[in-house]
Amino acid sequence: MDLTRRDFLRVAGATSVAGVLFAGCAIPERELIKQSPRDLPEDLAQGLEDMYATSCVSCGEGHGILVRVAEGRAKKIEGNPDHPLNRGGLLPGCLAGVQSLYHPDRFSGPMENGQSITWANGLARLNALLSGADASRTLLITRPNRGHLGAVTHEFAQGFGIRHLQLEPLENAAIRQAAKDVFGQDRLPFFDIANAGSVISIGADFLESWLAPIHYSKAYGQFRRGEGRSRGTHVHASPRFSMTAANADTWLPIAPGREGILALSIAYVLAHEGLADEATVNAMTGGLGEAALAPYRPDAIADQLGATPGVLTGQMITDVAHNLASHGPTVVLVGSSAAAQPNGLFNAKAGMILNGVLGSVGRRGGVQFNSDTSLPELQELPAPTTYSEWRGVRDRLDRGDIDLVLVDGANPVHALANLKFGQALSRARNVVSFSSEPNETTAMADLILPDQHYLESWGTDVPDPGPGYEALTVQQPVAAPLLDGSRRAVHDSRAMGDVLISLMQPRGTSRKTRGDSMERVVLNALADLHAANPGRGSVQGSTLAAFTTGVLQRGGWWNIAGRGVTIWERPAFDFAPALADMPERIPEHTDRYHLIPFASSTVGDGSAGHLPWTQSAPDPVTSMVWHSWVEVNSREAARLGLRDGDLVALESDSGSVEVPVYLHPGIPPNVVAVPFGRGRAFSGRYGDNPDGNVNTVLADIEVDGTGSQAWGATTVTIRPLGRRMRMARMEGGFTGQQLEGTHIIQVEYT
Amino acid sequence: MTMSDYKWGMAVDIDACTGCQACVIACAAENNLPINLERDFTERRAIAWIRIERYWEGEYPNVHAYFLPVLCQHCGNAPCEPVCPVYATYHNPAGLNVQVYNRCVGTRYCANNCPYHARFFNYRRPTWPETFHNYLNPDVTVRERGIMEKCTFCIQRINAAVRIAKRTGTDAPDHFMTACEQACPTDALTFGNLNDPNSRVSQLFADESRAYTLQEAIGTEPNIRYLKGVATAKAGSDEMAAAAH
Repeated sequence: MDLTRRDFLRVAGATSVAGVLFAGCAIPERELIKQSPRDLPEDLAQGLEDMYATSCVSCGEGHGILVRVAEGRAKKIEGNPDHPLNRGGLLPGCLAGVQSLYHPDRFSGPMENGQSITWANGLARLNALLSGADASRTLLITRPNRGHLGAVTHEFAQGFGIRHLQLEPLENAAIRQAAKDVFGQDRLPFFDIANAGSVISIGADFLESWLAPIHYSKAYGQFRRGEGRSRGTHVHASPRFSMTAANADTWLPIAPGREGILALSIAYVLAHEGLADEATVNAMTGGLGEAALAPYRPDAIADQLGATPGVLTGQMITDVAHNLASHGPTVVLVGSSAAAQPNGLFNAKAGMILNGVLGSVGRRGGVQFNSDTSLPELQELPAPTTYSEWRGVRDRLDRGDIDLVLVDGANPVHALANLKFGQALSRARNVVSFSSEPNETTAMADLILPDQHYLESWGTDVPDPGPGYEALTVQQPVAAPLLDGSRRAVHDSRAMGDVLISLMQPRGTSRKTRGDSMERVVLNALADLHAANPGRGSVQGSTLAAFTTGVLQRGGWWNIAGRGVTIWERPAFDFAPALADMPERIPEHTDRYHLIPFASSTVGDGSAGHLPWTQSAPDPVTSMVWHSWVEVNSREAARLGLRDGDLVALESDSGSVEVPVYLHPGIPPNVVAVPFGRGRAFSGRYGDNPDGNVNTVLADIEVDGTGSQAWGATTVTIRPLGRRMRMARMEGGFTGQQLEGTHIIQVEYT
Repeated sequence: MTMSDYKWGMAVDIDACTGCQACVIACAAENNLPINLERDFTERRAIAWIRIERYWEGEYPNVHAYFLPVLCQHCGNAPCEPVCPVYATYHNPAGLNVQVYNRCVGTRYCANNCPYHARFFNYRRPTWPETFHNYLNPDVTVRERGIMEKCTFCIQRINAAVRIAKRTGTDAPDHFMTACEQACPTDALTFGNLNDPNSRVSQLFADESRAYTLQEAIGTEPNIRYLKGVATAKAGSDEMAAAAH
């Protein structure tokens, strides 16, 4: 009889015979009741809960989230399926927003020199500092803010005559400049990955960190498995084997700094074989046509492009060109380490030119231009500060030229460690921080006026890159402030925008924004939006009240009908100097290595490094958690006598960083990689190990023509420290499925 | 509709999974998973109801990596169930492999017997700083020290959806998702009712060219099916040249 134990119990429990049987065996009858005798929370019907739509500020994309709120407490963050940018998708850092909201290390209120003070005293102190300071010797440092907080901050800086600096840790200046030079666009273009037939990403780690990874990941799902379409093909070229490389059908290991030449080499094949529009090629080459691209002939230069000699062949590049031409429309993405080389602007421009050669510009499934916001106060906000400018600021601080520094949402001491910005900042007479939690910069502040969390405050964002049409994401307070037993606020914070407005009002500062608080500023902006767009967009209220309610319910306003107009002048370029300017390729098996830093999909640039969920989420490729590491090619490590977990010092002209070795089978032997965002020295109880901040070793090199940081151009040596550490990671924590001897990963070949 | 009218299952598309870890955090947030500190990883006691396994193939320059989300497979013939001495793990009428926390005495036999390593033991009492209690999900039990736990397919969401379906008189509630599925930016996870032949998950299960189960040979009859990854020929190979022309 084929009877399983469960079947036996089921039969036995249902018959009187079983009663006799089990009475004899003395098993209590209640043991046979399969359902739990007690109701657990999972079994109970809960009351109705609220879902509020707002904006995720932590990742900087400006996409929409829904926050589940029960009894005034934010319980969980989910993607807003209605928002055109993320369509319900999220990345780990966004989900961890509730941990930053309720973080135990959030400042309990204003502080001066480590002592708690009242808001009245704090604001009086700030007023006194501003009144007493020479405006030309005062700085305001923030994160890049594109929405109304950015507008208010800009107005404040202008009104007080203060220099406003915006810290963008992974600078996109080269991409913006390339979009301006090639497409004549002030805004980043929309890459229509979802409808593309093929994608080639050159350097750009668009699935984990480049520009808008959530937006791109959502589109990538459609690109791969969308209904009613064939599976898109993806080629990735980069010096490091990243998560994006792991997802590509083909990975081309390329030497750092030679990415633009690869793009032009592909363009040559297309032009040479008549696979590209002749008029476009002629226009962009000043009438020279294919001849201008001839120096990039694949068989002539392929061997110089590979990360190591011989890994790229002319046939490979030709095949990629054929593949792109036969699986159009194609999107070409160039960025991340490719745009962070001394010739990063050339690389970025070459990628955009390849889009033009492929006929992808202005096409569905190609590159589309975004239209600007219709709100005038948001149209001309300043661009993020470039690395070159930061160096100048550091020099002024070093000379003692700066008396007062105001900081909000930025951590230059960590991000600009190679400039030794912390040492320079210590020379400022006063530092005022609006940060709500500890970080390396706030640690140097004498006055702390904690900002509200983004789930507690008002604001807007204009996503850049946008979804291909005008979009405004709206941020609203969704969680009630925490109160202690005496009904005092646990986190006695105020929105920085409100503080700045309160400082501007008595002085009668000229403003474009309207309102005496961020709430009024946002609501007035919605009124302007309603008036300027009658009967248009995702929300069309017949009255302002209906419009405002609709916008707040949906998390923003967007106008699909208002797509950007694609007018492209096809400017001519001088390609000739590119080959002469190729950066050095370090030979294999020497004592020097290209250092490629990267931002993973978990900790990112480190701004979420104080959150246990992001720290404990395994890096997708290495599965590392909680601390930094250096990826070293497995065979190269063996040559050096390095084992997994050996501690080494990576040394450059800028400094040294101590990290454990991760043996990586896929990274080129002359390249090492270290994540950004680790090595947080002062970030609360869940902060990282202070060792491992890769920013400390980055070379002081700029991207030509943009002034941004060439963070991918550092070379380092490896010095073993003779010590080891036990690596914290997911890998090895579970017995791998492959050990069971069956085909766990099944793959079909196309 | 009663619970037995449903059979819950999930399709995991390996080709669509990018390995981003959003599902891992979403699960931890939804189900009150303890915070995995550094020592939890070094001592191999981290708890992750869903994890992304990464498999290497080859080495530089011909290297590939695959991502495989692994969670409780909710086996129809679950090896974890018969070894539990106190019936703390059992099969419910909707095909879920259910863990009864207040029965579990922590023998860990079930974890030893799970071929997918999808069960986790609370070696420590899970603790959060006081302020973190505010985000804990009121619908989900916080498991004590000495208790085994694992993926429930977000049973609190299933229960809520079934209640709504019952109240409104509708059929299988297709309008809800598990937390991992909801967070996935590439829609690699598809959860639903296998008893409904028109459900998306049923259609994916029926894709004979791609659907397979993990370790099929051991006969656990999982309610999770994986959809094969897809690899294209390498650039420069004869296959790719042929495909392009």
